[in-house]
Amino acid sequence: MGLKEFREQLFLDMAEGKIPKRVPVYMSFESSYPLLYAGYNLAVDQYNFDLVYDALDKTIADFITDNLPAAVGTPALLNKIYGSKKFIPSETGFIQHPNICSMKAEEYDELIADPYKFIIEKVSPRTYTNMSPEKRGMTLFKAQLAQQFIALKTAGMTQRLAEKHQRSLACPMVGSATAPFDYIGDNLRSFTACLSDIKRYPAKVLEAVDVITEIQIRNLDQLPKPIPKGAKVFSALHMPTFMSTKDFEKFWWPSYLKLSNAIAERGYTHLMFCEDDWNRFADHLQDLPKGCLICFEYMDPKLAKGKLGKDHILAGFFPLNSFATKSPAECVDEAKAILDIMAPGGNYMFRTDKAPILKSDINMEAYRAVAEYVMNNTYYY
Amino acid sequence: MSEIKSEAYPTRESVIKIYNLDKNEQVYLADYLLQIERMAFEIQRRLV
Repeated sequence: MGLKEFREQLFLDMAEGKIPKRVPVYMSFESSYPLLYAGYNLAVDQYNFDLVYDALDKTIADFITDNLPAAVGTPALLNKIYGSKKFIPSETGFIQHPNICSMKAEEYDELIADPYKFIIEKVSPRTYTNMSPEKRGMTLFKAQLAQQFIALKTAGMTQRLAEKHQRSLACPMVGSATAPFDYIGDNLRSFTACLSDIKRYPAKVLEAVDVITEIQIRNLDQLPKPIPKGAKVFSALHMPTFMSTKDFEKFWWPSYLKLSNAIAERGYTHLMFCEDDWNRFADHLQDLPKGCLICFEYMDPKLAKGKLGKDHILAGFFPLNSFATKSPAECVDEAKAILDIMAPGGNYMFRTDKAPILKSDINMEAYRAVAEYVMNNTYYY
Repeated sequence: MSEIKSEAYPTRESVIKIYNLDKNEQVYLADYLLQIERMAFEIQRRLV
């Protein structure tokens, strides 16, 4: 078995509920990291597919992982064609997410009555300048051309990187699903307005969450088939830690649980990133369908392992900040402490609590010491 | 047809203006958008 196949088997075994040969190192980069690591100018070079490929090639060569930590692609082209107000590049090239509001508070009834119509007619033109009724036909046509253009430009790049660096492409991410309440915050009312809406119009928000849940579940049926082994559907979870537990239980959790069950029923692994500190939601997460892959940022490892480690694959916990501030030996000690809690019995992938963004986020010597430690010292059999 | 072409055929300058591209976006993104705009133009022209 070659190294790539060995690495793929680690992930496939875990997807099948088996204990893998050893703990896999499962990392992700923010798209800025490889460009900055390889010495490119993020603001300019992120738009060039060939330079992005070269940056990934150089970074992955130095950055040992079991998975391929990033794929080639840039959404900038589509964002420009749609005229996105949601994703705006700053002068330094980092993509900013302004807290925009694309739906008025008095429009909940319209959303509830016919969500597709409302989103297409009202929300899209407010979010994307080129999606007005007069422009949207041509915009969608150009977007389709752009997707073909991107597919041609990037064809085979991900596979080439995986082959060259012998990284696993097993258990691919085939789509994403947004937590229904997060959808209202991310896409309709803004982060800030949705939190005041739950106090002002609680019944309307609950009805809106219901219609958005149906849309999110229906979208799952558009995912490509046949489903690859261990295929993942991804959700980045945004709002819970900004809510009281009581509000979370009423407005956020029931619809998310329904969505997660729908993902599992269709044969996908639900991959989720619990942003911020989820300690107070550990009991809720126990109700998720078995076999989710849950990545944590600031969760207590002991609490997570005890409550979730039997039924779910857990990942994260290692503070990215340690790679920038501690010596290689201190980082290895910190990794050992996490592995002592998380590794027994399987169901753990080594991962940092967040993805690196800047070159200075990681002292490569410290990272390499930790990755090599995990790869050499966590064999189960 | 040639009149339409001379009036509307996308150029680098027209793409920079339409998409309001900043100096960073003008280096590579403008070329990609220009290729897409020209493809869209040619297909439209054939459909007229």
